[in-house]
Parts: sequence; structure tokens; C-alpha cells
Amino acid sequence: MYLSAAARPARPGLEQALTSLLYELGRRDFAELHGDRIRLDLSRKLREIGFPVEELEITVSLRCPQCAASLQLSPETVVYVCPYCGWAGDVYGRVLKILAWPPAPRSAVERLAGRLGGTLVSAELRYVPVWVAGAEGAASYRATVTYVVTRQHGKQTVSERRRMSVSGTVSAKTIEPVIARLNAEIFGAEEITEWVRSAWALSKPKELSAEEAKPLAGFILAPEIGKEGAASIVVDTIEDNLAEKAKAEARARAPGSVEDVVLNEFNPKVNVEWIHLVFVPYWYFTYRRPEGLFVGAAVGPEASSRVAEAPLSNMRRAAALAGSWALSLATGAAVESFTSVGLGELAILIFFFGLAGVYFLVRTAYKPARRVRK
Amino acid sequence: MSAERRLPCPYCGTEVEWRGESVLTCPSCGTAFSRQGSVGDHLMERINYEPGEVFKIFAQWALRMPETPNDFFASATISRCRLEFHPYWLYEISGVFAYTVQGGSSYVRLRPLAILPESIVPRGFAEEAGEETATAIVSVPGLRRDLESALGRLTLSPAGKVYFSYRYVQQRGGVLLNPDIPPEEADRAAERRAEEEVARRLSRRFGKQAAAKLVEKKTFERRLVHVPVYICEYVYGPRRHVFVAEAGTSRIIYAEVPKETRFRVVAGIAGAVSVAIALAVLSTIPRAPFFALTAASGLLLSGAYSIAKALGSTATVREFYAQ
Repeated sequence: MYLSAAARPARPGLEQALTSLLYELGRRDFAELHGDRIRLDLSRKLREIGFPVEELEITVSLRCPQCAASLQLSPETVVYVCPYCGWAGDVYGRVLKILAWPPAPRSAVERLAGRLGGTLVSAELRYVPVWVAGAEGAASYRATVTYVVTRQHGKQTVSERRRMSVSGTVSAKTIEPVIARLNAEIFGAEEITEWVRSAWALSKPKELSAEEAKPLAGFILAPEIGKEGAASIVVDTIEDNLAEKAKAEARARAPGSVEDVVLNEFNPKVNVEWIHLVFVPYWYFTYRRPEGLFVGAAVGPEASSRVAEAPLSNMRRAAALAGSWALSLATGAAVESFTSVGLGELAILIFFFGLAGVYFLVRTAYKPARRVRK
Repeated sequence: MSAERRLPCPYCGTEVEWRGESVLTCPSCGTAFSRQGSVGDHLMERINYEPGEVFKIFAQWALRMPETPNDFFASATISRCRLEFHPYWLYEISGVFAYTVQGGSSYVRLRPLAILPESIVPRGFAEEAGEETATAIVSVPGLRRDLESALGRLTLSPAGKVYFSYRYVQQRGGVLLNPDIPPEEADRAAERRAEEEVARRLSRRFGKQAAAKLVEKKTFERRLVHVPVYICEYVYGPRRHVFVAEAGTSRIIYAEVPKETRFRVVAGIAGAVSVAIALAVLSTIPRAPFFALTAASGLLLSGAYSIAKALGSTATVREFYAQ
């Protein structure tokens, strides 16, 4: 971080005074340095030591600790790669290893657009930052399971609802990817995490040298979630997974048809063993079909995980609309029949279900494009 | 006679004009304060995107909607924007939350499969309950008028926020809006939101509806955050449309998207056909009244939906999207 200050009116000794005060400011928090208070405090201190200034400007800039190039970063950024020398690290100047998979060539995206029945209009390569954690956890639990057993009682079939208390321990060991972006919706985010989970087991990303990282810097989306934040998300996710597992285990131990499982006690303990920041090559593209422009995304070195929006054909839309008309008529016929035989309550039920179906079909007719996954 | 007075800034002592506002911002040091004193750290989100960049992101996204004309991305141009800094109260609340989880199921012995007589009403389980130590980050809009708008749904995190600079607001030509929801009222709303947030987490964990109540506060940290928002107009064809976006993150908060004429014509025809069939069906009332009324209801519902799609030359977008 570099600080500079300019003050007026100029007086002998002012420059030295400013320089020494800036050294003190360097200990302040990065967020604090952007505020008006710091300027006011500095101005007061200058006055106290005999330099009453009228105008004071403080400039805060982040520079690469290796080549001193000025870096344009949003305050959310926690890790960056210098586009000039390839240095990679956090905003405190600590060096970080950069792991990345190589990108798929643009031609792979062109072929993908062709397979989707269109022609490629635009394609942007980005490297999405993802924290990948190896974690294991265990939880002890006590649950109440409500289940139903049925048996013959004379000529009548009776069901008996019972409760049982179940306790046990569940454990999990997983690779958990967390996309390191704060506010952004990334098209195909689910495909990215799924791809990372499977790719990590097959071929781990390569650690890049500064020379290799340099050309990627322009395509990298800045990571906005730090290591601690990512680890905390991993812990929460694994705790939820363990709870699900405990409930599934409790459910499996009941002898009858399970109606309900309630966790009465749940004590999870999760340990994040390691966590790495990796950059995942991701193509975001638009392609043209006769029906219009659509978007898509492809992940990985072979663009193997894909998600795209494809048009809902006019035929499908017309079919959904005609379906809503047919369902209206069928519901009317059913209501008339049931009413005529005195089953009024059933007719009311059919009326409401029929209208719900009509609404669903007509909404489908006007739905945006359908999503195609692979 | 005006009730105008001046209040001294609790940090630097600058006299700030006061006309009854809940919270004031000191133009010298950026401190946010009320008549009772400082209201907590005053932070802001910096501008990371220019209006043109945000508009490009929005235009690409808008193409996903069936109503959007195909030439929208190429033909729509941004005309003018104003920058406003909207206030939000941001809280970090941690403590012990007492919770109850709805058991939901009932317990009865020897229940026949046939419908039970009303006298044998199953007794519900006692609700499961416990205590959870948790931390929640919640935000509450600072302006009443934002509560009912798309801006009221914006959620914030403390990440990336820096200390407030009035000078920065002026340099960027922005308008600073001070909160009219006082901190005490925001505190109560934040506590409720924290309880809802913890209840949501527990509901996810237990797979059932949970309710939570903050019973022991450990941390209750309040900050005021000003968020830069672009309110822009863009031109497509002969008309102007509005879109609102967050300047720090590029999130689209609200947008009007023009509807393609061809789309409107087709939807209008579909609606008219639905209504025509409904009228034809209604002519059978004397012979089959239940059929006629039920079928006509469905057809009119279908027709109304289509006509609603055809009406109006713009669709509004209230989903958040950012690069």
C-alpha cells in the first residue's frame, strides 16, 4: 500500500512533517485510510506542529510489492495477480500459490455453439476463483423417528404409529469447493463447483510460475472471499450435510414406514484439513439461433461441463397454451360429472387443482428459454 | 417559523445544520450522528463500475427474457444517470438464540386406515427446542421509501466497505441521502431479521420450520453504510427506460426492459382466442352449468395471463444480477 499526501500552502519543513506523519498512517487499517476522518486528524496534527494547512489531499494506492506497478482493485478484492510481473498474493503482501487449470481453446466454444444449433457471437474467457477445501467431520446425534406399521386386526387393516429414539454417530470426508465471489451471480455456478469436485480427484490444477500467471491476470475475476471466510462456509456446509446424513441414518433404522425424523441432539465437529485457492477456466458466451440470442457457459480445459440456454420452440409454447385450454375443458367436464353424482367436495378439489394446472401450463408457454445441461 | 438548529459533530465539533433529521452526516469528518451522539461506524461502498459498464452487463443479461428484442444489446444506449448514496444499517449480531422446531407430526395408537371420527383427533408432539449460538450479519434500509422498493431487498456484507468520505461523494457528483429510520427503530428490525436468519439456517438443518429468539446478546454492532446507486435512463427505439444498479458491485436492482412488438402481438392473439373459447363455453350454461363455469374460469385465467403479457410496452426486472 502506498500513501501520498499534498498540502497547501507550501512552507519549509512541511514535506518532512508530512512524510513522518504518513509513516504513522501506514499502521492504520486500509478501510480507515479512505475516510474523511483521517484527513481531518492529519490536518490537526500538522497544525499542532506549526503547519496550518488549508488544503490536504491523501491518496491511497495499492502497488505490486514486486514490481511496484499501480493496481486497480476494488476494496472487496482479497487476492490479486499482478498483470505486469505475475506476482500473486493478498492485500497484505503475502505471497500465495496460484493453482489453475489450462483453458479450453476458443474453437471448443465455437464447436459447442454449433452443437447447440447456433453460431458463436461472443465468448469471454474468465478465471473464476474457487476455494477448494479438504475437510472431515463427525457428529453425534439423538433423533426421534415417527413411523407407521400396518397389520391385520380381524378383517380390518390397522396402522399403528410409533416413535423410537435413535442415537449414533455419522462422519464425512469431502472435497468442498466454494466460489470466492461475494455478490455476483455466476451463470453456471453449480456446474463450476460440480466440475471442480470431480476434476480435483482426476487431475489437480498446476501451480503456476509468475511467468505463467502473468498472461492470465487480465482474465481473473478477483477473489472476494478470504481463506477464513471460505473455511467458515465449508464448515457450515459440512454441518448441514452431517445433519442430513444423521436423519437418513435414523430413518433407515426404523422398522416401518417413516413419517418424520426430528433431531433432538446434534453435536457436529468439523476439521478443515487444507484449503487452496484455484482458478477455474470458464467461457461465458452468447450464440445466435434463428429464434434469437442465447447465453452459455463452459468450464474446464476441455469445456466439458456446460450449461446453456436454448430456445423454447414455438411449437412447445403453443402446445403448453393449447394444453391450458384442454385442461380447462377437462376440469369443467370432471366438475360437472362429480357434482351430478353428489360428490361436491371432490368436485371443489378438482376445480382448484385444475386451475393450478392451467396456471402452470400458461406460465410455461411464456417461460424464458429452457436450460440445457451436460 | 423553521425549527432549524445546529448540532455539533461528536467527533470534530463542526456545527451541522439540523432540520429534525434522524441522522446527520458531518461534512468535515464524515461522522454519522443523531441528537444522542454517534450512531456507530460510518462506512461506504466505493464505486467500482461506471454506468456504461453496468449497462453492458444488464443488456447481456436482459437477452435471456423472451420479451426482449433481439437487437436490444446492439441498439439500446444509455442516456443519463444520477448517482445517489443510499443509507443502510448494517449489523453483526451474535449471541444465544432459543429455538423451537415444529414437530409437525401426530401420534396415535391403533389408528385405522379409514377416516377417523372427529373425536379421535391425534395429539401433536411437543415441539423440539434448544439453544444455538450463532452470528448473523443483517442489513436494514435506512430510508423508509426504500423499504417498499427494490432497494429494500438489497442485502449487504461488511466486506469491502471503507470509512465514509463526504469529499468522495462530492467528487463523484453524488447525492448523499441521510437515513430517516432512526437507529433505535433499525435495531429492533435488525434483531428480528437476525432471528429470522438463524431460524432459516435451523430450518435448513432440521428440514422443518424453525423459529428463533435472541435470548442473550454477545455482540450487537451497528454501522451505517452508504451504498452508491446509479439511477439511469437508457434509450431503445423512441422510448426511454429506467434501470437502477449498485455502483460498487454492478448488481442490477431494478430495470425496465422493452417488449418486442412481435411478442406482444402473439400474446394478444393467444389471449383473445382464450377469451373467445371461454365465451363459447359459457353458452352451455343452461345444459351444463358446472362445466360451463369451471371451464370458462380456466380459459379466462389463461386468457388474462396472455393479455397481461401483451399489455404494456415494458417488462420490469427485480432480480439481482451482477458480473
